[in-house]
Amino acid sequence: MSAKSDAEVVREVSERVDAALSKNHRTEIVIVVVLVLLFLTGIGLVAYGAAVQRWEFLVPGGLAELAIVFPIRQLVKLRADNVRLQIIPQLLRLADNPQAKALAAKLIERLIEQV
Amino acid sequence: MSETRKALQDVADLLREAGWDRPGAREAKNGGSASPDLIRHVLKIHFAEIEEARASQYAPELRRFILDAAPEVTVSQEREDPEAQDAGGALAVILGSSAVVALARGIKAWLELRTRSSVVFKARGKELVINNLTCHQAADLAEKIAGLLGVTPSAKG
Repeated sequence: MSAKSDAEVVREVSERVDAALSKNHRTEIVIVVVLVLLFLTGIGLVAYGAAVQRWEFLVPGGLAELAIVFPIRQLVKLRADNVRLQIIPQLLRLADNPQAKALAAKLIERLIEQV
Repeated sequence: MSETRKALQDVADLLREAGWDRPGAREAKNGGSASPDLIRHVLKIHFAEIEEARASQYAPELRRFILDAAPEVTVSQEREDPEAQDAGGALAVILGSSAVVALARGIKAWLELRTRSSVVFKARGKELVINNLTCHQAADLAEKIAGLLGVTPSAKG
């Protein structure tokens, strides 16, 4: 079996990266929706509690507001992952000798450990 | 498992299949040993006994001489101190064995311009110091560099 040409490898990698990026984009939309819902719920509870003078509503409202930190962290992580993915095809295109290719392969292994 | 991790693992598998993780594997797969010229060698060039600022000035100059003589090699300027602000006072040359003679010609031409300079070559953990006094002919220099890299110099270029 003959080895794949560099162009073929880069094309396949680009396709895989594009697929992962579009899935990540869908996940991002879901997270943003959850984030907005949590925020609106929290602010709604706080506003309602204040309007009807039932201060116990401030507790779940405040908790919902605090909970938005989790989707925000997920979003930040997802953006960082996307940047990592986007550099890969470009990096592979620049690897034009065996040493650079080995280095690129090693970098991918490192990225897997970090994600 | 996240989609990013899955994608990265697929990419790693693809690269492993294509032999990117083992330099020289593809050549071996396509019929025995690799042609000597497909094997790339890395040669580091430093300047001896001069200040860093002067080395940063010499490095791009020598790089130009090398590229004029041997356009097929890859030469990049490197910083010896990663935290330094300058462009770097060292060079990293990636070359095939057929480029050794042309590389030596470029370095010899530069040494003729900078007669008092000494150049230190480093490869495979060994060192070679060359200046205008120890190197009279480009052919001598080619032989010494080839010895350092462990190749036979061929007179191509």
